[in-house]
Amino acid sequence: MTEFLRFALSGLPLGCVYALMAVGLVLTCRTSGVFNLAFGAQAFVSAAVHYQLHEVYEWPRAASLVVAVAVAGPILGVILDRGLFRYLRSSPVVVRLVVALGLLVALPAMVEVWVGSGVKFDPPGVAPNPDRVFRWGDYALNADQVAAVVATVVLVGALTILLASTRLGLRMRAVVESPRLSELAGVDADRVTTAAWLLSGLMAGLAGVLLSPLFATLDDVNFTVLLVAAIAAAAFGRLSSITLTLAGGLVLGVTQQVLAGYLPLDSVLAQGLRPSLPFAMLFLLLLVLPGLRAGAVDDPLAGVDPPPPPLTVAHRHGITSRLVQAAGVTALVVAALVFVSDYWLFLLSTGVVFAIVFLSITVITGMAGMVSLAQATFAGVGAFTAAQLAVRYDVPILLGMFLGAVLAAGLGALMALPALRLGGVHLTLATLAFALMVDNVVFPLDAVSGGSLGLAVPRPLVGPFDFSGDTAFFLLAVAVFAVAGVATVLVRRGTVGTTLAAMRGSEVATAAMGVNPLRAKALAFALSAGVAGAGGALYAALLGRISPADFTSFFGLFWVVLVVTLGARSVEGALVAGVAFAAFPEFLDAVGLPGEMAYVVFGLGALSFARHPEGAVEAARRGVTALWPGRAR
Amino acid sequence: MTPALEARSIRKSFGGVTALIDVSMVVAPGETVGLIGPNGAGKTTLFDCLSGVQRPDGGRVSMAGRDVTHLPVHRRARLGLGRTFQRVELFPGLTVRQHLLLAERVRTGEGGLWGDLRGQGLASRSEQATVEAMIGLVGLDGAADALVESLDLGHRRLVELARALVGRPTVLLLDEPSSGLDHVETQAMVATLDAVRRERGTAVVLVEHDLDMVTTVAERLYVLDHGVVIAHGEPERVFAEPGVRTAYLGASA
Repeated sequence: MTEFLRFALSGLPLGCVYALMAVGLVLTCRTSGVFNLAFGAQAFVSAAVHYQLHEVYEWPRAASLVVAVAVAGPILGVILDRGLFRYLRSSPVVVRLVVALGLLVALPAMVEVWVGSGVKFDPPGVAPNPDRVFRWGDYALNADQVAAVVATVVLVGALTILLASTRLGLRMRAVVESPRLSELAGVDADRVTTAAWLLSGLMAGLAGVLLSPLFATLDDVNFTVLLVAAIAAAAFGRLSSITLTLAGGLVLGVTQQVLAGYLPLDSVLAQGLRPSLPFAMLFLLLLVLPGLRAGAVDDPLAGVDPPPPPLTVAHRHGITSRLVQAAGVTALVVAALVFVSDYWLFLLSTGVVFAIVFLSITVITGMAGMVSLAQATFAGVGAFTAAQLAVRYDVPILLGMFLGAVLAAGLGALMALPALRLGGVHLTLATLAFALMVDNVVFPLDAVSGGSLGLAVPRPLVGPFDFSGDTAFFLLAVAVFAVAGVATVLVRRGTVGTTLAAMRGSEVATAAMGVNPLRAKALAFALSAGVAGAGGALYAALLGRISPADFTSFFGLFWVVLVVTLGARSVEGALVAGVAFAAFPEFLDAVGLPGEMAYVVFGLGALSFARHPEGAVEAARRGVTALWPGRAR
Repeated sequence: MTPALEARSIRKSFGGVTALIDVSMVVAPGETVGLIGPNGAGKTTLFDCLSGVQRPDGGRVSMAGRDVTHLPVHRRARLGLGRTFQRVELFPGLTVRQHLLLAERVRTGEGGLWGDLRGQGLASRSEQATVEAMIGLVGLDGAADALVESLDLGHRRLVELARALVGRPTVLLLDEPSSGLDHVETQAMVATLDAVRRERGTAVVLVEHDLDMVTTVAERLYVLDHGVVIAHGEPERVFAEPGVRTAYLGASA
């Protein structure tokens, strides 16, 4: 029993940080309707500011803390509200999600550009004397852990009092109920929302500096895990109850540490289950809590807003422009073969292979209007399946590629079916939880990925055609992309694409025609996962050796941001995104910028999604078309 | 004769608000029934329960004798229940033609993934004929290739009606079909409904605030007030009931 309590106590500080984040998340989510996926990134910013000021510039701890928590955190919150999310209030869920994702990608990268990307050991904590240990009989906590508990109790207590018995608190609760009704009653809802963002920024900052000493290094991945744990806790509180949210965070933190204490250190369970507990819990909560869905829209005046502008772009290109395009692509392919160095040919092949993977995002986000963060995971499923089949059973790699795609498609549909009922933000969260879980539990297994050395993957050999040469492989990649691209266009124009477009417009009316919405969405998910799996397998053959690091869930996040920024609605968008993903680091290197700038550029680029849902490629083409008088539409 | 659509003792409440209390309704095949009542009487909630958008707390819905209470929206649609919405629900980004073609494909089950991949995305000749006939029937000739978001409310209601009709429903639920239409358009809508009823024997239930229109087309009326059916029967008899006049004109009338 003592042992159990000791483990439980050591989980308390972690649970407190989870709870702090979760309460901040709920606060902004309820007042401004934004599910702030960038919240973990906000916490990371404050932690990094504290590290930089205290460790590098050698400021006194207190001064550094004040700047990191009470200045940087709230200011960032207010900037995000006033500069960004305020204008997205009536935007579709997809837009708000993508913008938050862009921030999630861009903010940590901006920090790394500032502080440098090296590993930062022993991030500083809050307590002036971190080595001091508080003991009560058998139980002990160090000063940072005590600080985490005390800070959480004080802050959540203060927030409860603020909400329950102050004017601002009353107004916040009113705005949570209905921003528009509050405005009619003379409340400046915008100011109240800003206050909520300021407060939540403060909480993110505090959570950031409290969390970082609990880990050995300062790493933004820890903050993504923190975010997921916070989302799970917030889901436990059904995105409204602060008490339940607090309880959810504490339970999660304590369970995690108790599991860590009892499970043998080297077992698969300990290595996989413990870190993935928040994801597993989130996934389960999303599935079993029906109230989450019902609570989404309860503003009695929600219908007053004009409907959001449609995301669809009615683009019909004439036959001439198609011919010109085809000729252009052919010319590029020939030029690539004739003029380009081996290294650049490899990069181009990488780009085309990624373009295939990115077509999966064209399908799921561009066509079906859903945001899946598990596309890198599906690509990984395709890649590891093809590789294992080739290594163990001598299955030809192209056949393995097909089987990998089929497995990924099946998995996609299987994962999606229960989550699809949720829709919107919750579906996206479920895909994120799924991706992180596979990241932690499945891909590291030796039987899947061949352990730390990775897996060697052969290149295809079809009858007399040998694709092991770089040139031949490039042509193969182009051919596969062409087939996948044409198929995408056919599906988009056909019944399936029209049905998905109809469901984006009105799901209830589509169902009233006789379409099973779940089936249509699951089909989109399966198609998308299948395309990602095929692309992933081709990528495996291109690289020749793959490891889990090639398919981490972070790529899944970044790819969505990248494709959506450049154009999730067209095949060209996917192609440009693929080439950009492969070649942009080279470009940055050539002009002497750090590699993180890619995340900054495209992460911030995603912010343009609100204005240009068709993506930068299509927007640029329209700009060019408009230059010719008479051709402008 | 088995009713085309029957609701028995439907109950529905939202939190503390009771929207429907023991509402029963019978619609015979080919019959046109009007559903009237003041704002907030529960008319749209009843439509939602009939079409499966909402699940009633109690009671039974059946179509042609078959219990459909637990079937989802799309299954009821396949069984021949069509509906329109009070807040028009169309598909922005699609043209009128695309709306109707999609509805036709859903009805016939043509298309699908393999059809699309074999390049059968464009309408076949018979599909084209169906779509053109429907466009002519509801009078959308000038707007066939327009994106629906560019149409005015009256035309949007017509698109919704046409989309529902393409599905060849046996029962059609229309939620305020004439709101947003001017007098001439309303007359045209009445004529269209008449034609549909005569040619196809479709039963129609319509929620309508325009009492002139509803008494013109409906053979029987149901009057809903505070979630209760306070009167039903032929229009003249219904309007003679004192309770109906109270509900419409206030207690002093």
